[in-house]
Amino acid sequence: MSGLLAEAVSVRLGGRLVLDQASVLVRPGEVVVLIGPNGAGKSTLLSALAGDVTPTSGRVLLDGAEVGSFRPRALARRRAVLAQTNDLAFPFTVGETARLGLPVGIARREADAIVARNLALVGLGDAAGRPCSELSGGERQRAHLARVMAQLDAEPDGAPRYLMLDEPTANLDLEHQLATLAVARRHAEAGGGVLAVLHDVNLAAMAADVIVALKAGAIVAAGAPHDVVTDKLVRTLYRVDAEVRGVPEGPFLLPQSARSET
Amino acid sequence: MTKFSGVSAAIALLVFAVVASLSIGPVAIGPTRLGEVFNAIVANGGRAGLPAEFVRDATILADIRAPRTVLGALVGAAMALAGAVMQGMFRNPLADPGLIGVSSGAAFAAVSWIVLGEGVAHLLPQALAELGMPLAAFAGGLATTLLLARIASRDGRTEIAVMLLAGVALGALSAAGTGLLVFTARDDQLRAFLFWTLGSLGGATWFKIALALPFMLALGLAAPFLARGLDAVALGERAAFHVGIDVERLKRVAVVGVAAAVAAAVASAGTIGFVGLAAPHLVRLAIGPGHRALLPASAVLGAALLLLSDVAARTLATPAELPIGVVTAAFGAPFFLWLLMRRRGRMVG
Repeated sequence: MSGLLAEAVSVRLGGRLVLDQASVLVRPGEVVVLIGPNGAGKSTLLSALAGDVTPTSGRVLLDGAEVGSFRPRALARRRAVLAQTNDLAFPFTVGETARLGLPVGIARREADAIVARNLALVGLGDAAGRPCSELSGGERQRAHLARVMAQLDAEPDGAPRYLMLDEPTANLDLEHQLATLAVARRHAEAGGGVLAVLHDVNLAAMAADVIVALKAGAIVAAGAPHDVVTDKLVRTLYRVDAEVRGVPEGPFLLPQSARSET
Repeated sequence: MTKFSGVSAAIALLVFAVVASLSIGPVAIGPTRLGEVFNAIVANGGRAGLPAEFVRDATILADIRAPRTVLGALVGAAMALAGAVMQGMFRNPLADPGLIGVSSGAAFAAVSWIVLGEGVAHLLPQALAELGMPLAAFAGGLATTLLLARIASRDGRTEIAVMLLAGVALGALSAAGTGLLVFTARDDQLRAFLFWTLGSLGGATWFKIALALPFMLALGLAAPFLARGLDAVALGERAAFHVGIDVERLKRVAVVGVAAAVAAAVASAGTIGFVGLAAPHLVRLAIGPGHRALLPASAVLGAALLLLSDVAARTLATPAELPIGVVTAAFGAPFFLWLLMRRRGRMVG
């Protein structure tokens, strides 16, 4: 079975139940977006799907096989993860950073081509020689996006590949927020699956095929944006009274209409 | 500087250092003469029956300067390579081999042998008794690191931050033990221990080299397989896993490899500081932080720097010999500080 699936996944960290029986399916060709308030368990769910947190109960399947049964290298060919924060301990250049996503043993010319292609994809085509430490926060975020995309670009084998993004737009201006989401959309159109954590409900509604809303470790709603993003959900998730309106492209929320309940 | 020219420069410096180390001494044997003596030995098929004009120089070279040079190059390479691996693994530019307890454990074991080993030493055969202290230092260094790795591991995962803190605590404990033994030591024992801590290549023999070589070689052979993982670990351990690195295995190999190489280095030449910290930084400044070039270039530069320090140690106060640890720190530290002030942006990420 094709898809990245969390099946009734619970995660307990330090005695606290961070994730409670959460189930999510990311199909190839789909963009799934996790939304929810701070501390709702979005990143933990993403980590469980990425294979770096072992569920206390439930299981995570990548195209039918337990994610924990993959060796790190095999797993890296199937999914790539852009973390919330990306710090480099040493002053690598932008090009070297993008190359960190590539497997050992890849031919040098092919590696150069993949790095160049993916730096261009994020608009850093002419920055390959600059040290990452000299970039702005947003540029650095995009350099790491290029690394993640390069990882998914290497050694294609026909199997779907999953792109996992934890708040990929956090440091970006509007232009690059949209560009990043366009990169994710193109990955899905090319047959890959995308799972993203987003804080901005409007961006989520625009970018997602499926929105999954989490609160206190449990999934409270899941489905197409126009079904899920409602006044009621916004109140449930964020304790904010705001009017959700719609345009043909999907629902949107004006923060100006908001009245906090507390 | 490109990677190629950077590595070439390090190799050129090493060649210069090797020639200097073989040539300079109470009996000067210039580069031309070095070649002549070497050719004579080769033509003669060994040192037995060598023409009389070469005997003196051949003896000095083969019995004293060559082993000293080889040991110096090996120790410098091992310390610098270990430093580069530790800095990568700990994601910390301050890391040096001492961080995982090797040096402090080795020092404690060495002083234990000096102060308490006397009773045992005369029971052993001569050759073994002479090697007692280096063997004790080797065992002490390795044992401390393995204990440390054990403390920092839970459920098959080694926590690097715990290892760092536990390393400081174990270091303090060994220092306390060392201090207690130093306090009870006689003057001659004290002097022996003090000279050991300052380091020296003076006692180099081919036999000692043969004992230390396998452990240093092990790290050297592991290094090419660590390079890609260490690059990825610069992103953090979790991100390194995301790009396909088996981080736990990387940590195990790195820690055991470093501990074995450094324990062997410390056992054969004492605790020589600073080369392990400084050489990787100099290389990173010249050719960048990628470990595929950084690891071999650090080893080459470390070998060259230690040999040059040894030449200085032998010649600055002739006929006496300065402890080499004093030389590496006295020249290395001010140079390193100067670099740090000028180029801080490029040394730390």
